[in-house]
Amino acid sequence: MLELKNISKSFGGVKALRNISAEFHEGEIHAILGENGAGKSTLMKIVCGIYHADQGEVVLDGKVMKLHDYKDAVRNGISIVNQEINLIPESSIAENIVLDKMDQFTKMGFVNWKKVRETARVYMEMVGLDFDPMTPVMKLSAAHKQLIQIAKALSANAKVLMLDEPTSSLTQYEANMLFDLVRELKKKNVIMIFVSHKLEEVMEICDKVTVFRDGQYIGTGETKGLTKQQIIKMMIGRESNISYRGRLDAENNPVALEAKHICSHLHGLEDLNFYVRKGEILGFYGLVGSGRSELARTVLGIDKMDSGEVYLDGKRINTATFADSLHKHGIGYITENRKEEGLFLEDTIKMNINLNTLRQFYVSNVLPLIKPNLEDKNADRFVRRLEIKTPTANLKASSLSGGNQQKVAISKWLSVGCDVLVIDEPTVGVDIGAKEYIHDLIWDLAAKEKKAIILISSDMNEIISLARRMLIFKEKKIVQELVGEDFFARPGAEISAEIGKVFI
Amino acid sequence: MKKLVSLLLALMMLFSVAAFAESTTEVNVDTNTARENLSWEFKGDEYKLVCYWPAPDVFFDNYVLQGLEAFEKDFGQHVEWRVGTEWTQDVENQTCEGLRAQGYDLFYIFGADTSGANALYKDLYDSGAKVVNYAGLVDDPQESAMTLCSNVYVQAYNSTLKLIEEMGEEGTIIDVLEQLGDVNTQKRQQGVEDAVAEYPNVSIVQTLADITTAAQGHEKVSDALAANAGVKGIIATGGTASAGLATAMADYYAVNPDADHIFCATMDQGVEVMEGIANGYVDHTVSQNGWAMGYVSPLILMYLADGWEPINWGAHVDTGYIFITAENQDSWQTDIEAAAMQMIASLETDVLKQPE
Amino acid sequence: MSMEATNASSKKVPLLKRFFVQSYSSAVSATILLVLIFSIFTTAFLSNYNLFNLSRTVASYGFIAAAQMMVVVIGGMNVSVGSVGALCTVVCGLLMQEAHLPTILVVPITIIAGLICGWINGQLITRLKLAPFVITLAMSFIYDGVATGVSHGYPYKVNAGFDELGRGRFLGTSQLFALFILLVLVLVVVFRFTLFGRNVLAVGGNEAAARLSGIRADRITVLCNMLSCGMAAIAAMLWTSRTGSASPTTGADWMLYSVAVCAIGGISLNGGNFTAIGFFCGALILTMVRNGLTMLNVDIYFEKAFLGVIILFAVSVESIRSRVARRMV
Repeated sequence: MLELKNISKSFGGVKALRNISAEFHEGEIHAILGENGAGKSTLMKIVCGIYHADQGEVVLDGKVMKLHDYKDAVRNGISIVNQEINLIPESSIAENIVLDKMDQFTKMGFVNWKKVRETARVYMEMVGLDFDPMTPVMKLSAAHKQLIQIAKALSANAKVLMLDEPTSSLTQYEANMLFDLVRELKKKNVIMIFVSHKLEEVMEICDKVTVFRDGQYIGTGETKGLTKQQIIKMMIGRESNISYRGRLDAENNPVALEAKHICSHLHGLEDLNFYVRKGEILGFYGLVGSGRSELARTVLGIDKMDSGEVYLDGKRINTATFADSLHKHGIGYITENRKEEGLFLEDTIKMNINLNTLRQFYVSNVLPLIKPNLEDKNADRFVRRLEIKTPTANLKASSLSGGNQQKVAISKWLSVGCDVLVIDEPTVGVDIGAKEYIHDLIWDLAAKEKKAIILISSDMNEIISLARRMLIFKEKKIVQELVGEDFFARPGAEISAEIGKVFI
Repeated sequence: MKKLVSLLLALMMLFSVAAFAESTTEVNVDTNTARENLSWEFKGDEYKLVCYWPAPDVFFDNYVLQGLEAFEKDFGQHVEWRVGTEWTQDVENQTCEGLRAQGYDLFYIFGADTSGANALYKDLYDSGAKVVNYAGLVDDPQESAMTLCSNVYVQAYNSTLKLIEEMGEEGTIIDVLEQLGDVNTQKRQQGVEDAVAEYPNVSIVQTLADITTAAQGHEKVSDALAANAGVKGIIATGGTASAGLATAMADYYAVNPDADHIFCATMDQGVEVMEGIANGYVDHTVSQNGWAMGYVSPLILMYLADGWEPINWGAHVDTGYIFITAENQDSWQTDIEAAAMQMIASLETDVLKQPE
Repeated sequence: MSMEATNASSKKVPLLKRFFVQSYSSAVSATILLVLIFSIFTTAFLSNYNLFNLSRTVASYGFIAAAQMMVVVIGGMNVSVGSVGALCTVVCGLLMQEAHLPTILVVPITIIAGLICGWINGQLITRLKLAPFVITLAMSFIYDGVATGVSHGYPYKVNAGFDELGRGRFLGTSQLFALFILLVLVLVVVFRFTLFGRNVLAVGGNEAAARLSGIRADRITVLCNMLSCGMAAIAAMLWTSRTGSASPTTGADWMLYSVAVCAIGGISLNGGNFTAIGFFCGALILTMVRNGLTMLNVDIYFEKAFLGVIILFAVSVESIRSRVARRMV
């Protein structure tokens, strides 16, 4: 049994966890739920030794854990499988699995590769992986990498296995594969802690749910006895419903952006076409790597376009670089890779919010110098308006939780005043409360401000809720266009089934 | 297009810079008389001569090369001269071995690493070539037929004595050295210290070192002048440090117009130093006879090719030095000339012996 | 930053703590400490002539460090600062000694020569997409080679009156120092109040994100490299005017000292930040240490080791401070 006793932790002046106590039992899949910033990640990091609690203790099988670092945790049978995959891409599967106990396979400085391979194969079988153990990890899909992480944890004889958003980059099929494995491990009496934003998943595979809110313990319950609405209520303290938002009535609006015969050798795109009207939300649906983000990035000049034509308001435009698209043509892009290319994590929230709009803070046109107090005001305005959880806009963006980081990334674009906005996976790793909020923002941009919006997502509910026309991408091609307000007015289950056909 | 134009502009700039570059001060020595006095009739028509220097340097460019060119003119011989891309023994070995492979067999070499170069000289000898080593150290045994050298210890010692005399045999001195890793530096330091030790009323108040550029020398000398108010003399025994010392003195007097005169001795005849002598803030400098090294070395090699032998194998021949002061700042070339002539005249009698 | 307090919490933090969390605080403290040590243990440190000298040397190193800083802020590095300095010294000397151009023409042409070097560096870095370290290392050999090839190692005489700049006084200090103060002020304005400065910091903070914010990162990279080499050209002329002679050996030791000033000043070598006070103190510390070691008349054979120890001390204080400060925020 893993017990958490009165754990508290603060960063600077901000309390991340207040007096948390909870119990996790063997053979149980236990979900931890909460909005971003609720303290889930912090708690996980304390359990696995990366952070040290200010107060309280972690007790495993009656033994108080005094962990120095993650290595220490692994030695004591506690492993974590992360959102960000912690594997060495250039090394083989086998090496990655046995990496932290390589000395057991080494004699006089020489590695016994045969033994390494055999050992790796044992654990790979446990997670249902059928590869040559010497395959470099970088050649594998995200799902398989996830499984290797689990294999690695198993090889360390994990008694506690924490899964932090394990499905965020997986397809439904891959996720199912993972769930089967998790159920299998349950039989082997492993304590499993499952952190996810996807309620459906949690309801499907978890036995118990513990909910946090604002660093506080809210409650624990049997999943069977709870409804989705009840859990959401526990998480955000209010009822939430993802529902049909009504009509956009954009069919007769003029076309804002049109792309014709787009080719890109880099991404393997050939002769792709699309258009988006003013006041319309066009959905790009498809899996990661299906060509949806690639097409948008190519058209916007972020990645190289080999041939093709781009029109804005009927006029041919040159989008050789993204700077041209943004500054000359008013086309914006909110990236899906928030941490890598969306935000300046080591800079302040203020800097991130204001970066695209610095010209607006000039003292005057004659004197193009930035007035710092205008910057402060703008940043504070967005922190308040988007309810970004931070004591001050002068903190580093990296101090925020995922959802709040995304809000910062979006506010950066809200004040720019682009007429066309491409929004790529706006709610990946974002909790339900923030997700709803972001959806409202996007809807208002189209409905009220008549912006042309391209929404790229692999979340079907998101697209159904917002888009009124969608292109379905598969293997770098647009395989189907679904049009019509009525189509999107249908219940989610029905439309999912219909779209599912496209992939068969 | 725009880029092409800018690239062209950049190239033009480089070339125009290069075009300006031709300018050196000439040393004019009348060598014909010396040559006519030689009794030996050279047998060969063409001697395959090579001169090597480990890296570009004023001493080589200015004095050795001029001596070399004068030799080419006087004797109608071509000397293939090479400058190393890097001051390492490795580069020197590769270059010289390459030239040997091309058929050159008479080498005069400045050893990049004075002891490490011996292996190269030996190899060249074993392959049938002749080697003269120049600008080497006094008393440093070399595996070459002969070493044409300047005695840096004697120069530093005598330069210091002269400085002390100028100072009136009393007061404090700042000693400015160059790179500490260089063996020459240690000999020079010893020379300065030995000279000072002979005078009870003179002492070294501070020693500066680790100077690789003129700018560093300037900075360190300025700092030291600030640190030692009332210092009476300052001496630099390396060429680069001397350049920095000369500009620092100019700056010192310009900034402190009421300052007392500080007696200043330097090394080599760099532009800054000569300007210092002209303006009176450098009292004397030591001129090493690089010209003679460039001229006499190939001559010795020609004798060796004709079968002459050194009287003492591996002998060190001092090419001498002179002091340049305000009095002889325009006529010092004549002194160099005289020294070189004397050397040439003595070759057949004092340095080499005829084949039996 | 602004006169208006942006939030209530910053008011409550004690002054000393607010100072401590700034990345320049270790540089400022080290400066004060060094001034105290040198003025207590040597008599000549605070003498008029030495202070005047110090002020000029600080300025020279300041410009050299600024040359490095311009590319360090975008996460780059310019190994060729010294070689560009050498080349520009030669250009400056040639224009004066051989072409007999008046100073008023020589100065802009020399700066343009520096800018061209930087443009070449920048174009190669952005086009070949190689690490700036590698490109500028290769280019440093070229610039160095051209400088030596053209000059044959000879120094050039400068125009009459050119050394006045390096020797003149201004408001109780040297003209060079006044120039350096001006430079620091300009840098403050650029990085705090101009779009260009902010874009530079953005590119240094996260180049991919900067591109996706519509910043022409390549153009910024080229511009920063041009400014870097332009600054090196100015530094070259400052040295020339101070020594009164254009020596092609100038710059041989600039690379290491310029990086050292940035590191001591708390300017992250990963790019993305700039602190004017830190930068200023970094230049001051390095100069004072070099000057102070001469003042203290330390053993010449160990002088370099002392210099290294003090630099190591200065940068490790900064590293420890930033780790502690992170825990405090």
